[in-house]
Amino acid sequence: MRAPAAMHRPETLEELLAILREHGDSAKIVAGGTAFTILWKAGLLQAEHIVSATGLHGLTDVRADDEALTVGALARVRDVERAEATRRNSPVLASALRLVANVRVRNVATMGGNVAEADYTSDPPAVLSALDAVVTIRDKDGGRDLPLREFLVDYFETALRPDEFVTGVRIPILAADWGGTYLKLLSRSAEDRTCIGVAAFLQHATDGTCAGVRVAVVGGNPVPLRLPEVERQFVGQEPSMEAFAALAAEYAAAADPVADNRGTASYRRRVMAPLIVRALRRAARGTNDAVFA
Amino acid sequence: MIGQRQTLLDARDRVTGRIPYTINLEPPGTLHVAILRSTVPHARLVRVDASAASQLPGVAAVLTRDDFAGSSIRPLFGPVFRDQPIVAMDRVRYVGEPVAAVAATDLRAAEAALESIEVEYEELPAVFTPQDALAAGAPLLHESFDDRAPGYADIVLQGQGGNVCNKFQLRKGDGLAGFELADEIFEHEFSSPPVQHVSMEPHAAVASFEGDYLTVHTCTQTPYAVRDALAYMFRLPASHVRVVVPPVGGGFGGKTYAKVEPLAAVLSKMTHRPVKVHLTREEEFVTNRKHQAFIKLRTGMRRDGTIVAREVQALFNAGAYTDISPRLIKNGGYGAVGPYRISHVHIDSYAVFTNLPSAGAFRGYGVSQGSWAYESQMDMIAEAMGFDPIELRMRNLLLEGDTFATGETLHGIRFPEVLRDATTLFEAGRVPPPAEDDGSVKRGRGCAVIIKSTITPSTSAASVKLNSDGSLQVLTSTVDMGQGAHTALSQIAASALGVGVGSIGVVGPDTDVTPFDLTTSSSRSTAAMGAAVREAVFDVRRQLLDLAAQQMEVDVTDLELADGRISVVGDPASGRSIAEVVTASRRGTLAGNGSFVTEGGLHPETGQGIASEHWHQGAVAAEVDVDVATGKVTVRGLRASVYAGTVVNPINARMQIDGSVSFGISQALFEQLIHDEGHPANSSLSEYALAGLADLPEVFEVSLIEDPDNDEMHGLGETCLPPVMPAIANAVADAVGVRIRHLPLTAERVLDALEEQR
Amino acid sequence: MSDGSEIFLLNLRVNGRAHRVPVSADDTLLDVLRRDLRFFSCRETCGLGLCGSCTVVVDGRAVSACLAPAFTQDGCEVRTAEGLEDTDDLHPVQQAFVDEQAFQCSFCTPGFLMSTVAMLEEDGPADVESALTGHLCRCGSYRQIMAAVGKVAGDGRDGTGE
Ligand SMILES: Cc1cc2nc3c(=O)[nH]c(=O)nc-3n(C[C@H](O)[C@H](O)[C@H](O)COP(=O)(O)OP(=O)(O)OC[C@H]3O[C@@H](n4cnc5c(N)ncnc54)[C@H](O)[C@@H]3O)c2cc1C
Ligand code: FES
Ligand code: FES
Repeated sequence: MRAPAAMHRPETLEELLAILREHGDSAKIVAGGTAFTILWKAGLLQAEHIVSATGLHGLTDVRADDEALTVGALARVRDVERAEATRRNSPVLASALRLVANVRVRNVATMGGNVAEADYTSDPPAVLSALDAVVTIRDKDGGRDLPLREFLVDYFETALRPDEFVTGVRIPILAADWGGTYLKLLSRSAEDRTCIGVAAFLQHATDGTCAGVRVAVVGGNPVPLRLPEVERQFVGQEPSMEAFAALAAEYAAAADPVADNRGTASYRRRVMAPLIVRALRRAARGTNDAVFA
Repeated sequence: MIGQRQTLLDARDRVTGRIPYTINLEPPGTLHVAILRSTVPHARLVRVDASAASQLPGVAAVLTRDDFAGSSIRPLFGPVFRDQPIVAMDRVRYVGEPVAAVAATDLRAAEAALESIEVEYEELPAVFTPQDALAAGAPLLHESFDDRAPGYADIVLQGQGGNVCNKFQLRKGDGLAGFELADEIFEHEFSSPPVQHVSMEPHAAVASFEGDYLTVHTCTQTPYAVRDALAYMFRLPASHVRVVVPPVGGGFGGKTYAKVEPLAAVLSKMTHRPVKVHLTREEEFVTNRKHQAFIKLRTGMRRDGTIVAREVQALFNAGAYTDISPRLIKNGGYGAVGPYRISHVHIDSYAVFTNLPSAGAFRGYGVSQGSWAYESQMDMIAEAMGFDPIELRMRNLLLEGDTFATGETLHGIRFPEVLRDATTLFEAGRVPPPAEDDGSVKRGRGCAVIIKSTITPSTSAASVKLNSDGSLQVLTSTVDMGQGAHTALSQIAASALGVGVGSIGVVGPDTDVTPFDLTTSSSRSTAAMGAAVREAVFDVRRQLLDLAAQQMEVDVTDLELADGRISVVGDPASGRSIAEVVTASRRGTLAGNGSFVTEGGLHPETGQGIASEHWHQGAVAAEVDVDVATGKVTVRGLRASVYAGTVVNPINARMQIDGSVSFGISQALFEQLIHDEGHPANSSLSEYALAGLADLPEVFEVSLIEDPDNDEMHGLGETCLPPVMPAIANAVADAVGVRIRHLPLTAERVLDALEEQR
Repeated sequence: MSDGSEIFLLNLRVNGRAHRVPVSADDTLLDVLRRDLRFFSCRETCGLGLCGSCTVVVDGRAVSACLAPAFTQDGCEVRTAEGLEDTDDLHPVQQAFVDEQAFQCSFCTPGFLMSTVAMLEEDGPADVESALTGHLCRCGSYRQIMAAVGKVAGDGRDGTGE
């Protein structure tokens, strides 16, 4: 039986960071609580101190400047998906967030919690990874910025130290000549977690070739799978089915899928390639949306 | 009234959330229970030491096997064989079996105390499939079968030995010799996994012993069976045990027979306080389930498409204890013949013990497993022999006056009509075309038709009380689980008395008050209890007319009762109201009784006799999309048709069919309990996938086929569930040419089959 | 407040009335509502945010009470199905559920009601399907539920299609 934990509800970031510094490893943050509570009730988390972030004032803004969309860590997924700034500057992210969980979960789940949970089946990290998002982190003495791809380390593991706190996510805005999509495969019921999710973005050059491509896959790898080298080789090619298939095959070969009740490793590897092709076709058409596969 | 849409009696309580489910009950002083469960699939129990746990703060009692030593309480229960212990005695037989239980002042204290109970197991070899359990040298789960519970006259006990829990057999015509008449013989094996009921309300019970009088509130579907089990257990006269059933939050068969009540009752006896057991979702998954089944089906065909012979070898996985398996494998056995005219039939159906949680009643009751086999094979035969699958069925479907495999002559048979009605789904343009435009999504169509019995023999009794204000109370042990049974019974009573539904009150199951009923399951309540209620109303009606005749000094044959008034035929002005007659009689209330008893039974060796009082007939047609890139199956259109006889409340009838269809889609595509060496691997709703709103087809039609000339009511609670799974599998085969013989049709399974085919 | 103790004094308004409940770190909002305050319309089926049977409206939004650590709800305004009706009249959403008979066992009903109420108050008649995904009705009363919600949302949907 777990010893009773102490509850903290700081009202300022400074207070929160001080509590984290003081208790280090024995403290655990709870934001929206949608991931935390499940693990806590199941006895899968140990902590002597639970620090609620929802008493803080702030860190809920969703703002855009010319270069990036900035989302506060405590912004609720549902607010981010509905924010004008998101819809205008990152329509694929806005739509992908609408496919996360259900309204009740999105009403409380935070963007910070979503990335900090580091769940290999989470959807937003696919889009965020493809968009080269950067996680902003603070501790009592200062802070650092980490690209999401360095922030996410392994299954349910991030690069955060126990005294660090995510304050937000910075998402670079793509030029208007990019098209993109997020494709989410539910291998079982409509209420299930993602089996494979593919974020794909494609930029057409004026000569009809590809000026740029980004593909990130979740569900088939410990962290979102992105292969910048493979993406680079794609630049200058015709956006043909063959070219899409070749790129997709490289991703499938590089993936390191885990087996769970949603599919074996082999299944995930096999469906990944055709889903990437499908996503790239949509991206090439510029659908700028997120849909179920 | 009958045949009219009727709002549920307690609708208001249901939308305010005030409806008093068992889980809300907590009399003052209630103790809460946490259960320590086995962590191994099969073991000798070497030691259970609860001494430390019982000293912890808040703990009132810890129940272990030691509490039964020298006690007069009988620790074993079960509806057919009393083979299931309240807590493990000498051995554990599945992961999740209760080993000890703590009753404490609050749930957290009870849970905390579990960690202080020490258990030592000496592991034994275990078996998880019926095939392994029947193999030579397999470890045995039970050494003896001596404690048979009385009752259930329809259940023949035979075939026990080894790990066989029970056997059913049927021989019709020349049996296996019939295959000599066949031009072609088809043989395939089909399997269905264990699945769980997942009623939203879990099992819960509150028991309190006062002296030697035991009261239990519980969400059971079988109040009398629970009462009798408890009376036997505590050596009490049945009159000292009272079982009350509040509204139930979904049953689907999962809440039949004693489950958590014995544990609550024993702890109450030990502590002299009310004790509440309320299972967690995880515990639900090891408490009851549908039988896993492996069915070998051999079918002999004539060149012209006539089925001449069928052999069924069915293995049902009973799990660790008998529960109701002996009846289920009987229904599942003869149910596997299908709604077809077959001259020569040979059936062997077995329930087999394994080291998994016990299986019990489940919506569809054995028929799902059998029809999954025969309706899948029907399409395989049609394809192999070059017949249209609908035509092949039509050629062989049972007709009015035919004999079924059990030898009984069938009446009220409408199979061709039901099947034809379902397949109207396929008329052009009803279901919109696939959405994906890259050619990877294929469309297919399939159908299935099934026959299902209702529990026979069975007994239902009802009482009514006519009050001096003319209102009528119906006393019934039928459980209201959301199927609208109480509302339907009030409609039947109102119509029999000739009054409005507003003056009818229904008193739900309370074994101290409401008369006997076998069970609320098997789609039987409206029909069987309805008949009993009608007879009880006719009983008071007769008394009422006799009294009126005396009061009005006329001959009773000159009287009529209409619109709540009794008057001389042809002279409405002479009338008196029901209230006036009852009041003037100075009887206070008039009481009436009614019962409905059916007879039947099957011969142990030949399976010939009467299996069912009437037969449920249902068909489903489905259109699906299959994504060949992912193997994902999406049901786009579905039409379910059922022969309904007389419909009491059309909205309730339709809703039960809706429910059956969503159960069916869920089982066709997603549901399966997974185990790893006997350890449950998906005991939560995130790991155990269930169909939701978005998994239902956009074209979804329900058709009730009524018969104005027949006032027989047909149960509708489950008839349209079994055909859903094979209809979908047949549609998948039609779409992409792969035949999946093992449920569910997961995306991965379909993709594997597609790759094998390439 | 940030005292970091093992008992937290939770202040909550439920259906307009103030409550003060001592809670531990193990308590969820659902525990407080059912066990301490006896609002039995919220019910646990999955405990995982999946089924919606524990749905309540917190500060105007539908949430799963089973996923909310109780102490993080300090100062919140909670509404449950018990608080929907006026003295005599059912809330229009409740009435629509009665009229369409949008339930069988009704275990899921209060959850559907609260999500619908939140949807209507937040957005007006919005995307009904999306508001109601993540709500399980094991009895399969979905079409009648959609008809009831469609009726109050004014989209004229007919649940049974017949
Ligand atoms: C029913 C259900 C369905 C779901 N379906 C989906 C889905 O379809 N797609 C999907 O992507 N996700 C899904 N999820 C996951 C959901 O998105 C996450 O649970 C949610 O985003 C986590 O956010 P939170 O604020 O609730 O985090 P919490 O539960 O509060 O925290 C999660 C973790 O992050 C840590 N943490 C939180 N905030 C911070 C911070 N600012 N700094 C540092 N650490 C922090 C916590 O300590 C904890 O370890 C589902 C969840 C549920 C319950
Ligand atoms: S119990 Fe909370 S969502 Fe299921
Ligand atoms: S009505 Fe029973 S779960 Fe919805």
